[in-house]
Amino acid sequence: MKHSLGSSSGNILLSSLGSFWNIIFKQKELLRVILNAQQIKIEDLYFRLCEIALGNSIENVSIFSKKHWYNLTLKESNIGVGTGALNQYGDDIIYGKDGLLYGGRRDQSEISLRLPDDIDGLGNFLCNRIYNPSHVLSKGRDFFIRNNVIVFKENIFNNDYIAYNTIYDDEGLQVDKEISLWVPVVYTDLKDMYHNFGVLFDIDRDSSPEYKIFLNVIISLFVNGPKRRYVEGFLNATFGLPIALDKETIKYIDTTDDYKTIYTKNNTYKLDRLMSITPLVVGQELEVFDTFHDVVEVIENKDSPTWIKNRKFFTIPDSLLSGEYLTPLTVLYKTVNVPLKVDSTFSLDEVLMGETTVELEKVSLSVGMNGLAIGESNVKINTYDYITDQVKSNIFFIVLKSVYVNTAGMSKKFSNILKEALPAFCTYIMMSELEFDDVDLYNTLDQTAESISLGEGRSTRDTVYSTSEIRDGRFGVIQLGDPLIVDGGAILGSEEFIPGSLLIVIKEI
Amino acid sequence: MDQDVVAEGKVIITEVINENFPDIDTSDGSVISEFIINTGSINYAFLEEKIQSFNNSVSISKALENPDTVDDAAVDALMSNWNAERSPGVKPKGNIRITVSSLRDYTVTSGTAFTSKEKDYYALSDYSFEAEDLIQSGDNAYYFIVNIEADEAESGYNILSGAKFTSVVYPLNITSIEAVNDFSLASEVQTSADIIAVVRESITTRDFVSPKSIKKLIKEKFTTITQIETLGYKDREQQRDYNNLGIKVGGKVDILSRTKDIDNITVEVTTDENGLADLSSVEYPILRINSYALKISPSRKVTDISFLCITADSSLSHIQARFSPSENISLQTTYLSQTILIDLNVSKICNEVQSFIEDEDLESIVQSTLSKTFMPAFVVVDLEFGTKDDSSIDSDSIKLAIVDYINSYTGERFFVSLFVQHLLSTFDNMEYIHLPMDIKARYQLPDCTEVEISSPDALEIDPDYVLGYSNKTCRFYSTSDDIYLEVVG
Repeated sequence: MKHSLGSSSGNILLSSLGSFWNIIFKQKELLRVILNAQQIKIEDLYFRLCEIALGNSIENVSIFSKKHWYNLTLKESNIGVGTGALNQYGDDIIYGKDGLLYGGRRDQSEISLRLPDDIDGLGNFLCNRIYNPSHVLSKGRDFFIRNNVIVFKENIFNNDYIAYNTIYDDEGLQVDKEISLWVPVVYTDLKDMYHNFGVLFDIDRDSSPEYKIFLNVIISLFVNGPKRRYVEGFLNATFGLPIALDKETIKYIDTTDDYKTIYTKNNTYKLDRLMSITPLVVGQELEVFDTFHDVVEVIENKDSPTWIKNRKFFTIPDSLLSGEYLTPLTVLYKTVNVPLKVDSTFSLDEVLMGETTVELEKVSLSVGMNGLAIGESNVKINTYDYITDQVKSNIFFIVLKSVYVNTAGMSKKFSNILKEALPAFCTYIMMSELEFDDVDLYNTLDQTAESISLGEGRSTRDTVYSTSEIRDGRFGVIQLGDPLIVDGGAILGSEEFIPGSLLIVIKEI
Repeated sequence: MDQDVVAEGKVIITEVINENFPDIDTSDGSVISEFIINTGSINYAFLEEKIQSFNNSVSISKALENPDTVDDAAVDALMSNWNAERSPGVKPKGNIRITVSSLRDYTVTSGTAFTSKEKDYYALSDYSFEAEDLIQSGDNAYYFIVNIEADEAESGYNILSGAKFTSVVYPLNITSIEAVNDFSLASEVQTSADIIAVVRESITTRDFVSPKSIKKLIKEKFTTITQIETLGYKDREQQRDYNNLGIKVGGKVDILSRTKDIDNITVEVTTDENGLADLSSVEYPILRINSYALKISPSRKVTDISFLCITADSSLSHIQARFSPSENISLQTTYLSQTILIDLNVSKICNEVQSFIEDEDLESIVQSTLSKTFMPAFVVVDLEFGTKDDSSIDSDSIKLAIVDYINSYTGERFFVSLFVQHLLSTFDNMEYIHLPMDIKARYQLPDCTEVEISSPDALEIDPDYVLGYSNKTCRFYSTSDDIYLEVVG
């Protein structure tokens, strides 16, 4: 074949293309399709660019990256492989007559397959083609997804509308079937939140709305200072309790199952009904970081001046005592008569000190010059008030009021975050104040408990407010129903409380 | 180019063409595949690569992974979101003594260059000396002092006392130029890796309230500070907040800061009839008293120092005032009712920090904050080393490198192995270091007891906690006078 001059030159080819498309090539539709095909991916890149730009703001960072037309390929041989994670502890699973048969399969006609690990969510549809799909599977009707396992109501590999490839082995025998489905929208976790924000606090979690609000509340805590709202929000998030993700309005409250579910326009909050829940009503306005459970309480003297006074029992952890104290200092409510004179002293020997060796018999009481009469008559000094009045100004209390709070969340990492954000001249004491009776404990802990196992620590017995005995050392087993104040390590059901600045008050209801 | 991304683009384009034109051949090698599909997918992969590169430049995590490959300007822009700025570095600075042969007026203009070991230093301002201002130091020898600064913020510009300079300034009748004292040590311009690493400290309020905000504000203000710690309610070393029952009641914060430089001053004091020298005129916290001598015979120095009696501002507890601007020390000398010169190491930065935290725009209400420096444990190094091929290493350079390393060291334990590794990597001609090395440190307990620790492995302050003194409040220091060098082999 004779080549015309310049036919092998790229320049000639390119300069000829213009007239080629216009004059000779008639399939303009093919060109449109090709450009559309390229546009699909270019669109994804554009949206990714937007996600990256938005990712500089914790308010706007995308939780998941969104892609269009993801090609989902599934093999028949993978049915049931790695799908054991479908139902996990904590999921809303019902066993019994109307639900799952314990140990049995959900439905014989259903098939389940594990989704690729990089996928964190599919849209509502699966299509057999991109353009004008002849078959569309709908979420909820034809399939559902839980814990990254997709469950089809019918065997998708026998669906006539979905093309499949047959896979043969070396001997020509059919060994597998592979189908290809197109997902209009797929969400993948590119961990933008961790890469842009979480890394600053060394907190790496799978992306989720909860992770986003957790990072948000930490940043607010640092940037805006240790305001009560941020401290409470941080503590709730740390303990795994939900907090409001946005400024929003409660639209609906569902109380039909073990959870109280709060619906707003954009979010859903599941509240554990085993824990005390803040009163909530439809139409209520929520502010970002609002809490739903009232089981983690932050108490400070200026807002609750009578709180510490009403306790009438207070333990100062050894970290706040000079080296002369050998154990935490437990201060009880006692009133002593004191002669009020210049340079007078009064005895604090009514303060029960345990094994502490500090000399408290001669404590100076200075009297100011505000016209207070100095006389021979005695005045009453309350030893509890005397000590707590001095301590309470720069301390606040974190009180846990439920055994179901996941205390493991308050790891050293998170307590360090809190300490870094708090004023250096203040500190906090963490307490657990639990109230339940025998029945509650039996039903809600490990269902075999008839007693509480306590570790090393200090306790007062008999009654909370007129304590006649302080015990140090290992408590052993305490019978339920004993009103008890414990300062020290304790195991309640599956929860273990760390000794130190933890005060557990178990009251009889 | 990432072939997986190319393949991803290829799948989509192929699928769309196949769906619309099932008869068209899109298999590998076909015209459509080679000319259309491959081109489109490569374009896609190219754009994806560019976007990935953009992502790397705005992601803290990615920048942390590859700090050296990320553009400095991109890192600066990213860090500015978190109120973090790149430290510009600190140039060595110090005084030179210019000795001239004739008594007349002299002028040194700002920017005049002086050179030592091929490194340039420049006069910091205009200096004019009249003849009567000059100090005579011998026959036809007069001198004046000029403050100069290094051209670059690099450790190569560090200078020890006595270093010789030259200058092309005429006509000054210069007979010699030398450093009066050790120059301040250089802090090099912060690298991208450094600034990314410290960005965590920058997310905070702008006040003196939390440990984080305190560190951020002070480091931002004082670029020479290399380490800051805070002692607050939760710290057992904070002793000022104990009440009369020995219970901490909070409300007090101590800020411990240090620089790489140890300031050296000489003060003139008259002792009392018991030989006690009151150092209350020294406004800075005293790190160490090096020596004292009679003013009339300053060359006969006493280095066997026995001190101290500490007094302090009445609002501060006795011990807690140590190493703060509020401390006063008395020195027991052997000279009764005589005027003596006392050579001291002090921390001038403490006073600057104290002034800063008392700034009315920043000081927090009802908060008692005290600026202090760390309790110093002075490291004494006796280094025996060999060089390659009988080459020599300038001993001043080694001393400067050692002082720089020790005074920059922020850890609670001083590891000899890391120290040796640092020296061998700094000096190419240093072939080996003789081990075990005789390395020790001295510090003083609150009761003035001198403690000496020594280890071939790691120096550590006795962890037994004594009245606010612990690993947290103690750090290692050194001066060139504490370094002894010997070439072996």
